[in-house]
Amino acid sequence: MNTKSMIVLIFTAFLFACESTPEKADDAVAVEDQGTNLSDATDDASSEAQTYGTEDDETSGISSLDDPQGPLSVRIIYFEYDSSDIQFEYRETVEAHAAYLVANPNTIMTLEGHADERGSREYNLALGERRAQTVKRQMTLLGASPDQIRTVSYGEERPAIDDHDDYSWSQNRRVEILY
Amino acid sequence: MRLGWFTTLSSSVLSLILHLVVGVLLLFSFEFTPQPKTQIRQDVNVVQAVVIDKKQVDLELERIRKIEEEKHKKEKQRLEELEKKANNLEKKRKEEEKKLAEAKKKKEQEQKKLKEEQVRLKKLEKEKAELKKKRELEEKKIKEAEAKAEKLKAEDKARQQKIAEEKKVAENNRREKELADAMNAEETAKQASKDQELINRISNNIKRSIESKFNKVGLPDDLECELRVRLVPGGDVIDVTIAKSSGHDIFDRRAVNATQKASPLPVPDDVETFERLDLREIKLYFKPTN
Amino acid sequence: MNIRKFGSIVFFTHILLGTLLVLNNALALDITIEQGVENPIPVAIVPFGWSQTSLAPIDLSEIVAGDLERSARFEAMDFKDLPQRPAEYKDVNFRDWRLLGMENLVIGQLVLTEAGEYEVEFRLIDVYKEKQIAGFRLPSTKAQLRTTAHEISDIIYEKLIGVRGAFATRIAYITVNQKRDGSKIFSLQIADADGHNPQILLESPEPLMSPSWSPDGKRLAYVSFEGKNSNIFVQDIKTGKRDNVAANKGINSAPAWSPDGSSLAMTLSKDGNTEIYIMHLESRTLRRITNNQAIDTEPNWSKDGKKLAFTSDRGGSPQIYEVAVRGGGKPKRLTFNGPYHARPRYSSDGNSMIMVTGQGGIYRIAILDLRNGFSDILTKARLDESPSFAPNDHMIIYTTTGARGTTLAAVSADGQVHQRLALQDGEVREPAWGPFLPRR
Repeated sequence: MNTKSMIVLIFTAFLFACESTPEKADDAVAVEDQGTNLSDATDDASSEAQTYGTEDDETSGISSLDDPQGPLSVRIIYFEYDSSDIQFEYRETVEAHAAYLVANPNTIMTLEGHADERGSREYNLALGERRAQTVKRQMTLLGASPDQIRTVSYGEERPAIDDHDDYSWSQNRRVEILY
Repeated sequence: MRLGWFTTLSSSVLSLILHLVVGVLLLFSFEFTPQPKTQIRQDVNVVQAVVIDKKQVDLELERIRKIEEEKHKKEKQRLEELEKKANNLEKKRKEEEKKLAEAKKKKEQEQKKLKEEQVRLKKLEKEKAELKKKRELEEKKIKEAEAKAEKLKAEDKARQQKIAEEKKVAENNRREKELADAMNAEETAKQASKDQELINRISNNIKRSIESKFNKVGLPDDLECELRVRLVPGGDVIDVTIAKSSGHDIFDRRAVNATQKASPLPVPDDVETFERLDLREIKLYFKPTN
Repeated sequence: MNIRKFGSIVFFTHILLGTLLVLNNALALDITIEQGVENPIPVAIVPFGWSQTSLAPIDLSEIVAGDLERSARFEAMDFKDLPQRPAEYKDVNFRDWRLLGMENLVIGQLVLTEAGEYEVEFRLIDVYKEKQIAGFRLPSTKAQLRTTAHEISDIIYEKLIGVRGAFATRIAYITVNQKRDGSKIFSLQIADADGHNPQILLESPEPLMSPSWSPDGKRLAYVSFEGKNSNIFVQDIKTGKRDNVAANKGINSAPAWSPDGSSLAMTLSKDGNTEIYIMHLESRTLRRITNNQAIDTEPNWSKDGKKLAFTSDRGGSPQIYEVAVRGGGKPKRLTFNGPYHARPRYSSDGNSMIMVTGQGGIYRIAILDLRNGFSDILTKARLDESPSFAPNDHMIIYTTTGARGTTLAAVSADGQVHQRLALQDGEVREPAWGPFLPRR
């Protein structure tokens, strides 16, 4: 159990390190390499059926989704202007949700990408999509199945705050995690 | 006499004849005595023809003038009313000017304050100046002594210079006289150059007045057209024809309208000059640059 | 004999000289007009006559005057300053109008025929030439009278400026209104170019985006989120009948009609990345145009149908690129000055392109001259978006966002004239200027 979470932790730390640099074709290769590691890890996990069961019990014991203090209570990831890079501070959030999906393979999650109102609407729609896709890729690399994650972009059409200033814009550049 | 009937005829054809006559007179009077006679006979013919025409024209003119006068009286009143309307539009503009005037007043008051301050400063300056004067007086005394010595020197020099100058003036006068004589002989040429100057000025004035009416809004670039404009003394445009179209109806129409709107065009008031300069028909090229 | 000969030579020379002098004289009064002014064209629109004794059903002259003034190329005379109000040509007193410096006069009348139909007759008159420039009789109906007035404006504009007016056209746009419970209601609307006759084509609690006119003006393509995702619909304006033409996983967005009306360019992310495709509408077959890791979106068709301009951040920041529709060939980058250029729209004459340009957090409308690559910024606010050319390329309608929310504004293509358009309450987004209606 501990080994598994350790692997996940180290692995995610590595991922975030990668993610802070802009996306390049090289990244895709690196991710693929990690993917073989990941399948090793899941192989280990599936062979230790017991461990898997305990962890599942534990997560349900925390009642993670409903715990207002738990890492799963964070349901919004905010972004920088015209960027879809996930900031380091959201590492824990992404990990926790990925782990939850791994532990609950029947659960389906929706990632809703949004942008602030600056710039053209259609470009912002694409930007919201890219933000949601980035979060989805992180979570699948952490073991969640792509089938468990739906993405949708609303661009700048559904702002969290309907105002026209820096603070509102910072709140509107986001991906919402919906179960 | 000759000039009298010349002025009653118009068009450059006559001007050509005039040139011929004058030219022939000038040239041939020295060398060929018989030649001018035939010329004169021609002239007489023309004179007679004109006299006959003129009688008819006068009668016709008289008739038209009477009709015109009656019309004019009736129209005058109505036109005045219209002008009143135009004046009302003017008034609006004037009200704007009034506002501007008020702003000006304010400014003037501020300037008054400024002036008072300036007066005070001037007083100070005056006091300063008086002190300066005293000092200068002393300096002056010294300078005067120096100047006296120099004056004597200068006077001597001046005397010599005067003689030289007088010589020069005499020579200049002689030369000028020669020049004047030559010019006298070419009085007509001189008049022509004067006229050229006048024409340049008129041409510039007309250009400016039409340019201020020529509206380019929405027109494509690189178009040009040529207009022929007929004028009467006083500058009223009586006819505009398109001599060469730009191929763009709207461009042509804007050019014609600009010319009409600029009427009366700024030309000399007196008929004689108007005729001498042949201003009855002018050509306009519309060739706006961007 | 000898002397005679000499004489004739001198005589001949003098003729030449004399002619030269005359010519010289004529040359002196050949004047070249090199300058001009750029003023609104004065036009007087006399209130139209009306065949009945009752009150006229519409004030046509007021609509025409409003149209012309809004274009900023005309200055209509105040009705109260009109020196006379002739309804027929024979009653026009040209001297009066000339005295007021009025170049152009519009007179006309509205007639109710025995059949109960309307007929509008009007004449445009050149006051200085004392000549009719245009005269038309336009049959109409009570419901169409406003449109008829706009058609008159179009004709006047064309006769006096040289380019067809765009008054009898329509605009489509999205409005957003907040309900009492705080929820939003989105609607797709169309209205006359002067904002009158707004009609709602679709209402939805979910966002609507990107209206795009079919070239014949009969259909609109748009994006609706009613299925909890962006989908592209094509709707017939008259019947309201619509098709959901793109409903893939991911983005289905940015529809743009081909000039021949057969196809839609669009942005889809069904293959994992946002790319531009062309859909043939009848067969619904898709052809992929871009293939790049970056965002590619906002396609717009050049009026000759040969090229697509689009926004892409393949170079690190959003910029405008152009690609041949037929395929083959690398997209060519069109914008270089500044870190942000998006949402291109070609002009009808193909000479220029408008877009959004961003720098230092300020977004404005820019125009790019495609012939020489020079660009100009046309607007002055902080957050201006969604520019759309009038079909005659003279005006550009766009949105401006400020403390008062998002409203419509217009600017002339030369950047000289700015207007705010108050269409209605609530937010107005993404105006799309419709095509010319067919001439009649």
